[in-house]
Amino acid sequence: MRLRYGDRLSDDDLRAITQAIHSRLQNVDQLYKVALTNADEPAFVFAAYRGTER
Amino acid sequence: MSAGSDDLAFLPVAELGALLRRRRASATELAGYFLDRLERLGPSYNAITYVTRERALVEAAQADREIRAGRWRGPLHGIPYGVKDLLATKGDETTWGAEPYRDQVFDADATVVTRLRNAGAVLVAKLAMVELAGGMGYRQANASFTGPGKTPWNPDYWSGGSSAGPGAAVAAGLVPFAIGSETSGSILTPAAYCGVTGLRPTYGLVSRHGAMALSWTMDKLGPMARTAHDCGLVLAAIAGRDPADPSSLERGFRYPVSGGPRRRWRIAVPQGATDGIQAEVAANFAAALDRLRTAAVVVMDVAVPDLPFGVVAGTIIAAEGASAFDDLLESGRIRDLTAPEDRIGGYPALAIPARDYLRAMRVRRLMAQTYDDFLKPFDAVATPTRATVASPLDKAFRDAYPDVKGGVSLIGSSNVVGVPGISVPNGFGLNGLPTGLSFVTRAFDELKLVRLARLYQSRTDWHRQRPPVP
Repeated sequence: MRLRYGDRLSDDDLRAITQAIHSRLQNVDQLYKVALTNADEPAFVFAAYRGTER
Repeated sequence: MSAGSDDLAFLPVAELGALLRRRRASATELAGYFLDRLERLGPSYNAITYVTRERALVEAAQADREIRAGRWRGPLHGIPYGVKDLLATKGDETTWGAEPYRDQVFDADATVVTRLRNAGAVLVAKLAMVELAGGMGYRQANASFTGPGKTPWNPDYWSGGSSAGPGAAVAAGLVPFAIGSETSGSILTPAAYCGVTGLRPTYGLVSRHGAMALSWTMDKLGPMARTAHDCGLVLAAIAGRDPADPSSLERGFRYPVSGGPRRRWRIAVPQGATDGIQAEVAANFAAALDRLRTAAVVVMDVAVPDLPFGVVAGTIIAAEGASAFDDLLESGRIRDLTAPEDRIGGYPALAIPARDYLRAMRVRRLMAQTYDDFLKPFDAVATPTRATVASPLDKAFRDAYPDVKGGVSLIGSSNVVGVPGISVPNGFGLNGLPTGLSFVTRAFDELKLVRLARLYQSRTDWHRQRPPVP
């Protein structure tokens, strides 16, 4: 974050962003406590596209 | 026009339609009346971004010509309405509530706007909203270039977000109905805080084409109005497949329909639904259940599935929102947003690994199945819409009612799994502010939701109460 956007973010901004990332990481474990199998697909479906013939 | 001017402002759509059909009022008169109210009162609540006077008068004149010629388009013909300013309308500013997009103009209407025009409704205003529908993590009410939304019940308090303008405008009698959007709570919350009825449809029932995207897999558009019946009428006009929105579904919504179940309703209440919430909110909820018990079996203390709905919603909205607003983040124009926390709120989402997003989407599918099993034995699950009344404008949300840390809200979970919900007013709490009662049903059970909310509204008059609008 600092390398890519550091020129526009103050030290306070970077501290707040770091804190938000830490906070998310503290909760993200919950995602991995739900048991999933290899067959459990994400809840979206990609559709192949074929436009009109003309 | 035969109705007194105050009465007219607060008439439901169905009654305004009756005036038009009987030629007691013209569409042009109605449009002029609501345009004047919008211009006179809208700024008091920071409820509008743009009054579409010119367009409204053209649409109203057309409605009048058709009605005079006996061509009746249906219950919305000639009825004025407003849209949250995240819906594109051809040639008008569409600001998304955000300073960086203040001059944005699209060259086509959103599908919902087109459908309402086809139904004969008259667009009178683009309504204020929390910037970017709250996607950057705002934590207080002043998060839009139009200023904090104010509830007409007490303008020192918030109108809710992110459909702040639709909530306030309907409550203050500035429009008979409005279209709001909800990614996670943005219709139901302002409906509760403004004392109006708000319906969040099943994901995919209403086309999102032409609406600002915050989260492609969670955004929904829906009606906010005075009554559940009005919400049903509006939803019937806007639902259905749209080739321009691949997530939209063939299944539309037909309403009104005759008949209905003759058996008693079966309503569940989650365990802990009122534990630790504001006392007035709890009392109003208990009174609402008592009203419903004459027509329903109320099953108390039902267990909500114990799954990480909040983390899944947070991960999905943050990741999709960061991508949807790539241009804003990369250009640095995000610094021009109103709320200081929104100016940096998009950056942390850039650190979400694809693995976490995909994990959330995989868990989400499992959640949808588990949630359907939870809802299946009941016609609806009831909760207080929010644990508190609206926050004061001068406090961060978390500091508004620090002692309230309880209750069970289905807003996050029901949005993650995409099922519909409705909020109806059910009384008043602290500082004369309204409270809301919510019902959630299985996917595509909007008819059940509307019928149940109508049943409640047939036995109460909270939806007929008027705020002290000048």
